[in-house]
Amino acid sequence: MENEKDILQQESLREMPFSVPQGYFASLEDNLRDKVLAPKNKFNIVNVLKPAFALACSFFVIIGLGYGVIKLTNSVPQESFSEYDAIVAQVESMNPAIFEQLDDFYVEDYNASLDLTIDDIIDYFASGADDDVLYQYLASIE
Amino acid sequence: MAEDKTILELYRNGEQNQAFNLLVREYGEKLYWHIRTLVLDHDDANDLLQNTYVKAWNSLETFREDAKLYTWLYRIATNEVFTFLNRKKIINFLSISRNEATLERQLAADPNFNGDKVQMSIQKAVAKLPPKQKVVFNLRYWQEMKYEDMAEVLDSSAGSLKASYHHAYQKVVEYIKKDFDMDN
Repeated sequence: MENEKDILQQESLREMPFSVPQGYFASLEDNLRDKVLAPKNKFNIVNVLKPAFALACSFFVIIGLGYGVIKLTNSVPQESFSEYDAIVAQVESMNPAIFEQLDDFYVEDYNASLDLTIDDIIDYFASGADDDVLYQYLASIE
Repeated sequence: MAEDKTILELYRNGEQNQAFNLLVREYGEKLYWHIRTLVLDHDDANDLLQNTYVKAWNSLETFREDAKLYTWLYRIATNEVFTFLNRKKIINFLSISRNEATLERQLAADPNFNGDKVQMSIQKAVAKLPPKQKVVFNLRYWQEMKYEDMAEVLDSSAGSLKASYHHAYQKVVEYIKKDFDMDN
């Protein structure tokens, strides 16, 4: 090291002390072109909406399937009620008196069961019932 | 430069592949060496060269011809290197092994480094320079870039760059002197 200041001016030192893998510069153009000019995914509204659309479709399919299953497994179909109502309506139109009598019968019978008094019961048995039955009944209510 | 005009014409006429090929053919190797002398590692240099071309190509449309394409590319590459080195500096700061010995071992183990002892010493000396001086030294010493072009790359005046190179040169010489005194 006689003169270190001059050493940097030696031509040999100005050569790059580095090397590159074999064929690096020969393939540089192709490698860079592949990386830089590769087609990019451009913004597309269809691509953005595709997942949301698929989700909505799945939702409707599930709802549809669920509705179908409920509909198929329902043991009392709605139609049977409407058929029954139609038959009743048809009979009622043919003879309305039957329905009026039936209504009166059930209503009166029900009211009668509520208004029953002890005197009614005595009258009932007095009209021809056995004495034994009467005594048993009276013993039970005392 | 005639090539710059051709590249831009091809690009604007829609002949993108040809424009890109010419851009790489003309400046790819020079840019690689500029980056390599700053980051030293081949893989890092390759990645940064790619980033440089991606950025340059994406903004070529807005390139104004008041600057040279050549200095514009060097400017992008230098910025990429600065960003990379700053990130590396933070990582090295957090790392336990960060010293000259690490750099020496790294270069000695690098199959793509084929320099002798003096060249190893130059690399160690350059690694110790502040970032801007490092770029100025490399552009001038290895690439022999004109100060006027360098001024465009680094957005500085030719005069201050001359002074910067002079300081860097002195520091490298001093370092080599010390390095060999210690060896002897």
